[in-house]
Amino acid sequence: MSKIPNNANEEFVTLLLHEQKILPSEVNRHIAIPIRVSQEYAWLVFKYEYQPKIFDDPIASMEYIRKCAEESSVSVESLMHEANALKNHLTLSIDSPDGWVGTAHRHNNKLEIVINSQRSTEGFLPTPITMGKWIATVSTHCVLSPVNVKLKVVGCKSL
Amino acid sequence: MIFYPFELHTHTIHSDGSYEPEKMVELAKRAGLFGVAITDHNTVSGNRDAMEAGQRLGVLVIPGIEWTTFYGHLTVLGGSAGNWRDVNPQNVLKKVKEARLSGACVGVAHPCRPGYPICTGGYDCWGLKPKDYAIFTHYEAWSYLSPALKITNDHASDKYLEICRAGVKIACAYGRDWHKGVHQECNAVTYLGIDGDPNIRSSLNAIIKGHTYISTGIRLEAWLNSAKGVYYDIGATPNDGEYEFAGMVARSADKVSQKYAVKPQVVELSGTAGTYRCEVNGFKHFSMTVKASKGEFLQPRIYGEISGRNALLLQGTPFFFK
Repeated sequence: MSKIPNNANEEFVTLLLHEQKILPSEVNRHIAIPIRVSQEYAWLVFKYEYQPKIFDDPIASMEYIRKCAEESSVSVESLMHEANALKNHLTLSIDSPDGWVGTAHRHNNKLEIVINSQRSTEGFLPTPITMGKWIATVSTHCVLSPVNVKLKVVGCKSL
Repeated sequence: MIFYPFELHTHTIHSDGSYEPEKMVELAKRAGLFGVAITDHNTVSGNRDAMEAGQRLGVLVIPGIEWTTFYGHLTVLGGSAGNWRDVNPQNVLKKVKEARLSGACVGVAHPCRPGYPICTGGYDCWGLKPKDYAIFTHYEAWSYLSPALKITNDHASDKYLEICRAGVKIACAYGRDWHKGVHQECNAVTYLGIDGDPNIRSSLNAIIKGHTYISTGIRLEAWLNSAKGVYYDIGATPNDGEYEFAGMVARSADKVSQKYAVKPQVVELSGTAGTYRCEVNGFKHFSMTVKASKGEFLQPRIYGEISGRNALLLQGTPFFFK
């Protein structure tokens, strides 16, 4: 569910508040979240979070480990150290109206990404904040349990 | 042609690695590498800093990206970054072809690593037939640390040979998948055979032409020599016939051979043209006569010991005979 707040005259403008529940059946998908940027900004901030990170189900974990070992023709014992460390993994990509800006492919489930024409957060190219349709894409690499995703996008008018 | 040691699979803080790009390049130099490819997961934002550091430190930096998809991981070196999100089992060959047309080398990363949910897409789930791999430039027959001692690398090496048996020439590659510093296990390197001035283009050409071998602690200077005095480098495509395979097994430029007590014992050329072996028992010269018919291949391999255990220490892109 997305909300577009009406605060266009402020220095910091919230452009999007988005919350979504993603189920294990939605693994291997790219979920596009559009963001309308209708005025000039110096930078955009994407506050992205998903919960839970750790998959806390020892019995189901063991079944995943067994299947994974079978697929890759290795012993279950060799993967046992992973049994208590299975994690949900949902990465975030950003596209400007001119194309792909980058992707945060890391394991931290709370990220603050800054996009600016001179310097952006690691994973993203320096990119001017042009007006038009921006897209944040959540890529569901690993969804072992229902995951709550939150995304807040803020525009700032000055550096 | 000179063979130079490279690392073709690394990650920085621009994805899930621990090092800044500059630090990764510095570590590559300290490890005795001639060049390093930056292949962050689904981003190219660290390439510029790495290339600037490479110029400063005298390390050849190949800009790249690892398409970390749900179905497999592909290292794309040079050329256009493409759009990793569009790549799926139905269009992967088309997407790889587009990347190749942009000038990139595209390699299969760690094809036999345990996949979902441990390393999502880490296991090759493209569903391709051996012949389909002809569009790729390189294949990680080994990956990660202590490569010669991991069963998943045995599986990857077997799959690599299966592709070769289908008549597909694809460069043999190693990818450390270097994310952070680990000191307990040894690494391998990919040697690229470069003609002339070593630069990004000539390095990529070495991969495209298959002038590569991967090794832990060993440098192989060897050629197929014909009776007419023609020399063929590793990965070349000679005519069918009888050849002398000769050269020298030397210590690698990095410190692996001494640190992990690498002892080469047997040089082998094997494949659909048969198996030829020559005992060396140390870092020595060797020579053997081999014979192959049209359509057959022979892969260079060196067996020996590492840290007191028997292992495959080196394998290269085969000679394919025309």
